[in-house]
Amino acid sequence: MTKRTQPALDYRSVELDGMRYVILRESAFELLCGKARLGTRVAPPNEATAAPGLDLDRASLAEKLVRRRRAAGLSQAELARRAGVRPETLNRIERGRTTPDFATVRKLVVAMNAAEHERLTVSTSTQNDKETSHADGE
Amino acid sequence: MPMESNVSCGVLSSRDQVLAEVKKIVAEHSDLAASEIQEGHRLIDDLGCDSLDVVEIAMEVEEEFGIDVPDDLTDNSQTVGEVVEGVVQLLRQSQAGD
Repeated sequence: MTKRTQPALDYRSVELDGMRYVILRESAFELLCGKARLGTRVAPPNEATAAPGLDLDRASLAEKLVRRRRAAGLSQAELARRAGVRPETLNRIERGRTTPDFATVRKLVVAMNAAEHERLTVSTSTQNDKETSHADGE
Repeated sequence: MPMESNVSCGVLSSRDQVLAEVKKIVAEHSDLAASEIQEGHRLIDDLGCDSLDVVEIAMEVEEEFGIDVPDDLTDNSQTVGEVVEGVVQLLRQSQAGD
């Protein structure tokens, strides 16, 4: 008895919003549907996927926000507090689990800019203090 | 076109100025140079911006033109041309208000 090797089905999987999805070749999908005698239809776009490029945007946005927040020297909780955004929301945004609206992104940007500005001001004034005390010492 | 520009020279030239300035701002958030950016380009789909870029563009536009860009304009402006139109209208409103 010779065993026939089954052709392997290549696929990848992704997790979006806590749901796992399988990505496979369209031809393989059609083959499977054919075998299962299932008709196919393209799901109508829903609100979450209607905006083009949104999923890609979410990942790159999350990455950039984390980088910017760290550059501003803020913890997630601190940024959430300053921006008036719920900490859980910011956490979800930074993990790429949700796409924030422009108003939310804006609050975050404003808070991060302010924090960066404060840091610059503080470091400059500390430097000035040092220079002053140095001058005093002479 | 030359006929039109004779009729409303001021408005046209200011729109051109807005367009040039918006292109410059957008270029800083895009892979394209200001000279390559066209009015029909969509910020997110064609120019590789993400929503953080869009918000920063809106904030830089505000600073450049001294206007407040409302959130719904950010939501509804997908192309460079739509941003320019929005800015031109906001400028007109702010001038009318003065």
